Amino acid sequence: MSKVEFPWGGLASEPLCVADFQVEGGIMAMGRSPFGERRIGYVTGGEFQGERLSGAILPGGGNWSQSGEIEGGLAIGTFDARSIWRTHDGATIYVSYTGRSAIPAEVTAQFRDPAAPPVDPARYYLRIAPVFETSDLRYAWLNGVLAVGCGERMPWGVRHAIFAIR
Amino acid sequence: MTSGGSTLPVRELCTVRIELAAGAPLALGRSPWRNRRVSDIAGGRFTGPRLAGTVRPSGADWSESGVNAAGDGVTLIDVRSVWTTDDGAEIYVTYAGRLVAPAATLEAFRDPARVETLTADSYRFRIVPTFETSAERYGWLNELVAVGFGRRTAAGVEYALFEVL
Repeated sequence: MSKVEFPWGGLASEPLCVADFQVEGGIMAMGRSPFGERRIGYVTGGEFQGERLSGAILPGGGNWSQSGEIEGGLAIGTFDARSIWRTHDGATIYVSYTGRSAIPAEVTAQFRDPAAPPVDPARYYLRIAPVFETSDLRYAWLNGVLAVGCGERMPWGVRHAIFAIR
Repeated sequence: MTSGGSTLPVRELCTVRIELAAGAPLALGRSPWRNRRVSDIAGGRFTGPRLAGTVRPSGADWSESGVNAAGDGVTLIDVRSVWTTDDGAEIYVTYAGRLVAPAATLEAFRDPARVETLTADSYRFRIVPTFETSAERYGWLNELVAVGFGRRTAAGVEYALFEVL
């Protein structure tokens, strides 16, 4: 097969913010319905910080994910999340994202072991694709951004390093 | 509540009372695409011949609102919530819907102190819930479509839900 030429060069991005999503109530594992296995986590708070964008993540959003598994015990999940952010200068932003998680069985085991040290995020895969919606004219530019977040699991929730795609 | 003179076959499912969080709705303002208002769920109860329990706190109505040509308020309802039966089953409940408040009722409708003075037939509030649960004894919920007749209360909403047969 001949090499495929990609226009655009590489995928260009720039850092947008680091967002800490607190999920203090834990994840509700809904079990297996005829449709699949849903896991629901509600956002209890958090913050986001970046050069152009900083503030608080309000409680009340969540992630209504579906979990599954592929061969070898790799746990594969979807993201279907909604969240509301408020900047320090008072703008309210609706943030929604899809995404994928892929966690090897041995990493899941370490997550479940309270005595295990934090796992290197390079050993698992949490990737989200946020879009933003705001009526605030100072942040109107954010409506036109597609972002990608790379996630790291924390004791209190998830930290995403979010990049705006150019 | 009945389905009127229609021949649509329905069976009572339950009544639901939901309290919204203080400060609801959070108005997000008009983005380039829509005017969103988010109402967080503080809790509630559902009661029916085949199921009863509590509406869990969290979850919300991620509603979008607009105005039609006559000046009526038209709201698109988009709810995700979790209900817990008294015997411990968790049910994921989602519903779309429409709420139409005629222009003349809008002021009273938006005032928690006055909304209950409006008769239920002075505005139209309809939802279509579906359910998802892993609890085998409530598996029948996975298989139905429901219709709900709603009314606003000072604290939130009440629905009469019917299973569409």
